[in-house]
Amino acid sequence: MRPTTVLRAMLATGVAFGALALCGSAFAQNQADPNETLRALVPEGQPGDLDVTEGDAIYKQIASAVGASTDVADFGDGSELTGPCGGFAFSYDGDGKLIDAAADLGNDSPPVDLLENQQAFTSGNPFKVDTRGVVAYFGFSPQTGDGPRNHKWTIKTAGVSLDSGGDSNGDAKNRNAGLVDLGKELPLTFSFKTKVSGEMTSENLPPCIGNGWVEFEGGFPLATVPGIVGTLFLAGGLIGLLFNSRPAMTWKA
Amino acid sequence: MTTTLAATQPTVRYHPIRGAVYGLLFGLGLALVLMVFKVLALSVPIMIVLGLVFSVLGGVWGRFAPPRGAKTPPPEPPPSPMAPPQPPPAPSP
Repeated sequence: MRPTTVLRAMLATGVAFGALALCGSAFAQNQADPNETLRALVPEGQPGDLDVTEGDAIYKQIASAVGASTDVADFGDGSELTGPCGGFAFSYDGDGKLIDAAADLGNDSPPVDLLENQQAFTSGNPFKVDTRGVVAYFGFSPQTGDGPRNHKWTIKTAGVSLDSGGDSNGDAKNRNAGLVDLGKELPLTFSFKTKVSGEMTSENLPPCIGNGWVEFEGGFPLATVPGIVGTLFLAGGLIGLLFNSRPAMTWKA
Repeated sequence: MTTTLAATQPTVRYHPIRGAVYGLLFGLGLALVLMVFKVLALSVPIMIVLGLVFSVLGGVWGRFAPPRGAKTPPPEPPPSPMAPPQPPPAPSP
């Protein structure tokens, strides 16, 4: 085949693919955007301390909307939540502006990012949290029936235990809701991306195990304590290497 | 009594320990800075590895880097000692 004929064929193929891509994107834009349906369920401003009843009502709306509009089906990229547990979490920054929202239906599907309609808590789409903000949450275990009795839970990150706890839960409660004020709970602000793992075990239920990526936002990175310490170490080490550890000529009798 | 003059000779002083310490500091600082900018995920093993790698590199630098010149000039040799006293002349007969 002559070179010019090959070039014409390649050009024609490229134009055909481009046309198909344009048609595909136009088709997608004509459909109702599923992000808006889910996003509308998340309060834009900080909702305040959630109670269980309010959280339950929000969760039921989310569950029906996720079932109708999301196509996240496969676990992957470091995100999972297994066991008879689920719920949602809304993250707000220090000014009360919504920055992220995720939910898990307590089934075999992965957690869903309610703002972007894709898998949540992944390495490419971590759950964003402002260390000066708050996180409103609602959780259940299980959705119906007695809750975990004599349960124990742990949370770890970067190979280090962050927190742990437990309760006898004599009333067998299976739901909890509330607000975590990170600005008050944390002693300092920081910016990190890290993988968090958690586990809850109990006498009467299978363990609830979760793994996922969380991105902590604390403002300009070098203005945070870890950033300042890192900069000082880096500068001090570099200056020491260049000016105080190089071999030196000296005079010996 | 005689005094032997000692000649001063140039020599090189190596600092592998200092290099290792400063290298460790540099490695930990680099790990922290990369983590706060989210280039790397927060991980204690990564901090340990980077610290050790740059500690070794710093030690190698302190041992094998091109030496820098002496800060001071060579010391002045001490002044020559006085000549030994001459024996007295023999008495005349």
